[in-house]
Amino acid sequence: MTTREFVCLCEDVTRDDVVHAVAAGHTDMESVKRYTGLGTGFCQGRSCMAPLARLLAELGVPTEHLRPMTARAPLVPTPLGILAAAGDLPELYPSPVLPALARPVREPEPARELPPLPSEAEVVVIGGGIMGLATAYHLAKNGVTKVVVLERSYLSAGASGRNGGGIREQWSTEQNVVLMKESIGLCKRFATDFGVNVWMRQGGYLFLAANQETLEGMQRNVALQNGLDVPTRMVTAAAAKKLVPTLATHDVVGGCFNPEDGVIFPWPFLWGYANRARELGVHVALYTPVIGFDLAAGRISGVQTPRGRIRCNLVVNAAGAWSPEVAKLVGVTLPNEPERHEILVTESLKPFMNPLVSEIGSGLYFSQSARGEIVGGMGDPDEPHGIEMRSSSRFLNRMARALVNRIPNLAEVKVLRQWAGCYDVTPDRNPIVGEVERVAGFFQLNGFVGHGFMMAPAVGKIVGEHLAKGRAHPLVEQNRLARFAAGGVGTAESMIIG
Amino acid sequence: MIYRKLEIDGRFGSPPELAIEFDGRTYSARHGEPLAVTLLAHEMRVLGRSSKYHRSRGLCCGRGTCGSCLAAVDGLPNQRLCQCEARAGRVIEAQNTVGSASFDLLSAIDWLFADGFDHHHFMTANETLNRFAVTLAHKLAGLGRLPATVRPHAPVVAEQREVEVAIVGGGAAGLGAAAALRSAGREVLVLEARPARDAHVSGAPPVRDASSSGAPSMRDASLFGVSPAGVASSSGGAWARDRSLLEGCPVLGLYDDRELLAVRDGRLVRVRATAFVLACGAHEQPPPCAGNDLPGLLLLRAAELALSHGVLPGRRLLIAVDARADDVARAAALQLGRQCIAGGAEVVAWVGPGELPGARSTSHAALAALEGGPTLRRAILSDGGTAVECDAVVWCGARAPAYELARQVGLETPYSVRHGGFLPQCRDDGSTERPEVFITGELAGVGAADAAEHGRKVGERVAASLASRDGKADTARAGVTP
Repeated sequence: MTTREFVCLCEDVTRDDVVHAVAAGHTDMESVKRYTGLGTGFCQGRSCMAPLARLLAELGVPTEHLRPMTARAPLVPTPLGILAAAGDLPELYPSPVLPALARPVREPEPARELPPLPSEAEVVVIGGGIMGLATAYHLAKNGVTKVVVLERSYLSAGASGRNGGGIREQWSTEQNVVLMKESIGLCKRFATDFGVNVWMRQGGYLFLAANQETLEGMQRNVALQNGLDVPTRMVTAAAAKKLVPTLATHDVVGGCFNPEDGVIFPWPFLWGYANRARELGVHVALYTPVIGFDLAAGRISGVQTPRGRIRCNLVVNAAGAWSPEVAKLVGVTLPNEPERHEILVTESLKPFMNPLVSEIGSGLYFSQSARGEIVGGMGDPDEPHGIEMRSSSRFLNRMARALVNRIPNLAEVKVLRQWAGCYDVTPDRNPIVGEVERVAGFFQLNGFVGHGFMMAPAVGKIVGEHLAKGRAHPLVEQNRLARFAAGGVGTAESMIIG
Repeated sequence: MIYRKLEIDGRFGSPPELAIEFDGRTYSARHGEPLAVTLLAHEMRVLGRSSKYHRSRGLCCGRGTCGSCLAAVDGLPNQRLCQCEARAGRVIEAQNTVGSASFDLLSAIDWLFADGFDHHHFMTANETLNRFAVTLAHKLAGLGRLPATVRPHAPVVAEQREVEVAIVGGGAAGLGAAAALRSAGREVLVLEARPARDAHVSGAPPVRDASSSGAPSMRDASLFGVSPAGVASSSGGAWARDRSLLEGCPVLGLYDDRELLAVRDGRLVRVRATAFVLACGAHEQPPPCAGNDLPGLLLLRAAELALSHGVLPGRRLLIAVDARADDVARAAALQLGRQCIAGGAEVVAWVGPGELPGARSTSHAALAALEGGPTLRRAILSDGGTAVECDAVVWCGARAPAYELARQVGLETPYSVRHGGFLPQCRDDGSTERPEVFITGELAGVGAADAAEHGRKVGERVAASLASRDGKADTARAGVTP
């Protein structure tokens, strides 16, 4: 056998893999985990966190700020059937609302000293999620290279690193269908364009309807999609079962399926955009939150951070669920509300399911990742608004029940981790794009209601070109903040899941 | 039936009475012993193949904390063979192999990618290649298979408990805390991940005396030393009877609404408590050297597990003790070495501090590499590359504190150079930033020998904090009483 020293035996991550990750700039444990896959296997990090810390110390990473990756429940791989059974006690999980316990909130810290911030920039992008990074990349590609991206944590700490990786063209509004057609085209080329694998697999999205009314809504959407050259088709319950043989369809009246939809692996998009943007001169500043803005004559003139000021006349607010907080710093009120959405992942299994399966009524979605895990989530109608990224036992139970109901064979499949992220929800479920009227130079790029990740390749390109070249686009014309005050909101997107 | 030689207190005098199946062949087994130990007794060390390189893997930690001994059991994927009991007719299948556990065609991947597999940049040169890479990777992904048959879980009702203090971990520290709290008249519930049958393995719950008044027996102060097998089953003890100790009950998570989820006998256990004592102990880790995944490398507790079932870890053993292992662990390793020699194994070397009578002892060297394939064949020492032929290496290293629950509830868990792992921040009395969470034992950085005493002190501290809270509640009530 080849001589290898392992740090993580579950995922076959060697000492050399960690050395490469550190050389590529990933020095904190959350980032090393994401880059190497270490700690994401069956032992849930028990055998590798301490050895990794010792190795990082040996490689010269200072140990005083070293922290292990967040430990996720369930700490023991637990079959979905067991987690589902608990729900027979109606009082077991009464509400998703967590009491406001005095839990210390920790701002993540860099493992190494950060390079100094530039003192001025043409554009400051707030938020190092995919939306901000894609926009920064396209700004630079179109000649605006003095760009700073401010990220309050490590890359992928927000919703860009916490989503299920679904990409789809099935929507109820023309805007979203068109954007996603373009985005999927860009995703297909991402690995070769950006030199990093995103493991894109077009297994389709299979939406299921539990009643006639939902089915009729689907028919309208499919007609719209077909009119825009998307090959979605209506399917019967029997046809759905042909697509996913293990599916239980006793409570399904039909559904729709688009073979062009699929799943990707989210994190490499961030690395790809960030690396190419850096090569073009963009400064991506991690662990650097925004704490205020400078204004001169009603116009943005600078951005304040704990590490200093950046003079600039244009700010893009791409902070996702944190966007309202950022806007508040300059006195602008956004109608967006953060809303927690939870997700879980199981042990990895040999491939048995091609499409991502989703239920329009419950919001359940799940797919089998390129690594073989079942990844999925489900919204909670009682979820209150607010930034909240803790996990709940209530979700574990609801999700387990929904999964076992849909694929009974999953009862014996074990959950390895649960986590949560925040959707950035607008009243009409359409995004906010464009400069606000009250503060010149304050450009909004937020409110993507949980599908910002999949749209970012297209949206970043449109907005980057718009800001750099002044190129007009309906996305920027039709999604301004002013629509809410004017009362003339657009058609609400109805196909929101998760 | 190669290794099944060890007789302890006449316990293993009778021949194995039942048969199990592994990769299509039948093997004899004793009822209730871990399947990984059954197969070790038959010199079946390779139990499956690893996720990426298809390397051979086998019994490693013996504690259900790593992922090395996974196999399909009775059609269920990814079962830890060190945690599954032998029962008549059980069928075990090696996973992720084209062939068998010990001969896997796809192990070619291991030498094809001898310089490592950079999955981020693999075949990104053009779109056709990339599509091929993604398809190939997807086909090779996953260890186990989706169970073919549906065995719906009966709608079992979860067990619900409300107690004053929930204690996670029934080792020396956890039971010390429990004893102090019970003396103070507080209601406790101890959740111990280990099943009662493992009471003879170091770090397992101490021997409890069924005739005692309910407090754990503290006579066995060196709880982490190997107590010879043949101990009375502890599950019948007074503690278990009054349901204040749940053994075989690992904790899944501590949620922020003071809800602790655990699982026992296939049922969820949901515990609400006013205070939580985390006494989760520490995990063993593989040695940091090349070949640290080879079947034949056993962490100390895995070797103890095998021995406790009368099975020797190997014929030719090397025992390696890390300089950072504590005295209690080293004593346990010595005891293990003596038992192996008594059982007929050859201990070809003792590497590390101290010496083992009857074995060549080398205190100035450390483990530099392990070699072999598909199982361990030799160990290379750091003293200029001495090669020691052996079929098993028992590794006794420093244990890393099990910080997971503490981290989950938001406690700061900085790296401790001295402990070689992450330690949740707590004060000397076990209290933390969160008023309802306390920490004791190895998780608080206390050595195994002092864990029981530390547990007791922390228990007293928790009792005092509950008393002061009661006092405040009384005062508040008195205030509104007309």
